[in-house]
Amino acid sequence: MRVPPRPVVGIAIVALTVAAWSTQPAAHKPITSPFTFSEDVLPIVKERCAECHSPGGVAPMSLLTHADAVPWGESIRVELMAGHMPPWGVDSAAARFRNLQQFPGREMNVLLTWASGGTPPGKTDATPAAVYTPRWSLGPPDATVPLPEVTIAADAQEKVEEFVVDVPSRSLRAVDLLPGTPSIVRRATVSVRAVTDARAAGATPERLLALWLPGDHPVPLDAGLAFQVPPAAKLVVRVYYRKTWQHEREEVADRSTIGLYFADADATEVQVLRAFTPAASGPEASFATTVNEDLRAIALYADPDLSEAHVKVVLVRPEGSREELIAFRPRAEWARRYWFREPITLPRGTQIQVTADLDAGKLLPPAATPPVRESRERSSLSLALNVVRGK
Amino acid sequence: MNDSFPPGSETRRFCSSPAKLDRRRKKRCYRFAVRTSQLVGPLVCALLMLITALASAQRGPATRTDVPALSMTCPMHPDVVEPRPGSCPICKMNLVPVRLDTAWMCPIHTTVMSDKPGTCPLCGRALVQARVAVTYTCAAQPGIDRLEPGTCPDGTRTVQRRTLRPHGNHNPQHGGQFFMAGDNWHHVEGAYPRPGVFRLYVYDDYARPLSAADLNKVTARVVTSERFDARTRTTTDITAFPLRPSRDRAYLEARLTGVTLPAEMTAKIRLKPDAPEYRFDFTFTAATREPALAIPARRTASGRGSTPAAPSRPAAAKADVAANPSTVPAAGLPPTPIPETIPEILVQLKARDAEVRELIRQGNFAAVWVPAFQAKDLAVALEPHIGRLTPASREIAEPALQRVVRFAWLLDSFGDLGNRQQLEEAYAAFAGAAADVSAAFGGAQ
Repeated sequence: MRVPPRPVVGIAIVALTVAAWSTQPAAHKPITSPFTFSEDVLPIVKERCAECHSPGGVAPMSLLTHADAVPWGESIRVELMAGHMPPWGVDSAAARFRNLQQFPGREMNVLLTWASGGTPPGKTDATPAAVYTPRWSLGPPDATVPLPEVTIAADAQEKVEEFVVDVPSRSLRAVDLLPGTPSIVRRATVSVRAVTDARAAGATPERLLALWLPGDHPVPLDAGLAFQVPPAAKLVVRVYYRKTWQHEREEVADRSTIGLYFADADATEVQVLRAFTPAASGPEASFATTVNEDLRAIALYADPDLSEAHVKVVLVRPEGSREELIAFRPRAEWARRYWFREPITLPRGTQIQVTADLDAGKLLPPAATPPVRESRERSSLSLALNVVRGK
Repeated sequence: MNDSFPPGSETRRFCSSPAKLDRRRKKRCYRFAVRTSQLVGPLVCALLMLITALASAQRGPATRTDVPALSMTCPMHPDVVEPRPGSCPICKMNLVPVRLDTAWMCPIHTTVMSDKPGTCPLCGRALVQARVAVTYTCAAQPGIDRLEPGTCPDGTRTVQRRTLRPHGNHNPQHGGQFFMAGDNWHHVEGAYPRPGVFRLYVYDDYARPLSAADLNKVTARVVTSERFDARTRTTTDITAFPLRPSRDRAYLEARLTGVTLPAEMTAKIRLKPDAPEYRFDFTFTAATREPALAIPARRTASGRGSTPAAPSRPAAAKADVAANPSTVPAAGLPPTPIPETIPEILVQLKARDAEVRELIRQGNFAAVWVPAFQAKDLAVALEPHIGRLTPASREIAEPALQRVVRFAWLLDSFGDLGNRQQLEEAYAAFAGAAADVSAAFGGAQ
């Protein structure tokens, strides 16, 4: 029997209404945010956070669906207010650096308002988020060095593993790491083991090739510049593994790979120049170094002792002009190089002044993650500038 | 009460409550039912009945319209409220179901609860809004405590029980200034009832006074003058007075000398012997007064007392800190009017910055969030104009705008805690960012 259309429509309406009715009611949490997840939050998260906060990523949670993000609303709020996320820690002049994205105030306000105001979903989309797959962001490397497999036992939460591996004696423009199990490889340092004089004054050859972080694309050196690997030197790779709570009480293994990108053999060697103080006491420290030859600064990084401090670096040039190079809050867990978009000229006689406010917790909201300091005492403080010789 | 009727409720009323329907609707409903049964036969009717029965089962009896929606919360972190099951983002414990609602309660007699604003029948104080959890119990067996309404073992209907939620009440109970402690559990209220007397009330997470035994564990002093060493960032008490339990163990009290209004003082409190010391900064411009003991409206002979009490601000709103309650903002903040030109926005930004500074100076910490949030709205409004700046100015402006936003939110958060030094440091960062914004945009026009 052919069913006339009108009742069919009626039945469909009733059935659909009942279906909608039978879904789980929304939380009784006041919605004050005009911003919704699908319309406002997701585009920001996809753009800024997805490399880590996606299924299989290194972050403890994906934020790519409303269902994933909502339970972390309060954490998102606290970490943003603390300035912990995004994990660049730069308070000024982020546009000066190649590897930092500016995080606009509008976007921060959207996320904070959404997280504080009831986390409304907007148009729901049940599509599951894509699983993160790591890739070489600079393209296939010129050479790869596979690292041995590492297993984190079921009863262990984290592990630090140091590998000493052979490396060709070449000039390098970049070094990258491809994690085998992205969700546990938290950070890594890659350096060259070679005899150096730690007490040498002025600029010395840079041996730290890479400070690797998840979600942080390596910045290759400009053409004509290189890190040099001396003959018979070894590559030292220190990898920090940490399981997220999803892997608790599970045995997890990783086999990461180092990627080497070669530079021209006649490239100019990158040097390191340190500002250093042997002792730090009290909540503030100031130290400086003076450049004794013409240099150009291409990058900067803080040594672990400066972790969780508020650091300001000012250049005082020989003619007396002052320039703030950076104001930032380095964190040992997020140790990175800050690559200048354009080289900064350091004429001979330039003084590099570093001021460190060591009172880390004063501007943290009450529920923020307390500072993690790897070294228990701040016996000495130092800041490194990567430089090349010449004007 | 649950103010959102579930989707589909209109459909149910459409056919099942003819008394409330107008004639046309009733007719349409009837025609629809008749046509349906005629055209598609008993099968469709049975389907409709099944759907209706299922829907009714889902909604339960008529009284279920008063049932607040289910939320999920952490047994240890009541601030965590989520719409669906999962684990607590702080401690990873499994979330448990709860039905949350708001109610009006007496600030002193916390068992007095009402659906609407009014006055306490016991003392006549204006009721204040508070967050409650709703469960269902039986009159004859109060031990029964269920999430779902239903029938009691004796055949009677369950009755609703409302229990105050942790942090559901951030209202001062003695006319003083109310702050939350850094442990996110205790609350304190400082009062200055008469010249030379400082009282400190200490509450638990439900804003209930601590027991005498717990109050005895609290060590506290009130400091009226101290020295701050900028180099070591430490403070040294110059004039301090011990806070001692009152005879009835209801509060701690100190007798102060050399204090005149307006008075600033700092309570330094260790809530347990092994706990950290928290500081709470109080500013009293006048003596605090206990909430008025008005004669309850229903007992008054004249009609003047019949006006319902003005609604108090919700518990989620900022606590009352000022001696003059009129300076305390309402819970909601209307959108900030944004001027059309950059210079006008900068003038407004400077004015909001000055307001934040002044409120902190006055000790009106709970009101700081209002100009701070207005300032961040102004900063967000400036962002689209950033393309007009020179690269050097842009380098300054971009992070500065973001910092204005971040520190505005941080000022909001610190405003609840009552630590002047913390607020001043957040303000310094906020003001520095606002100054950078002004400097960068200053030459844009």
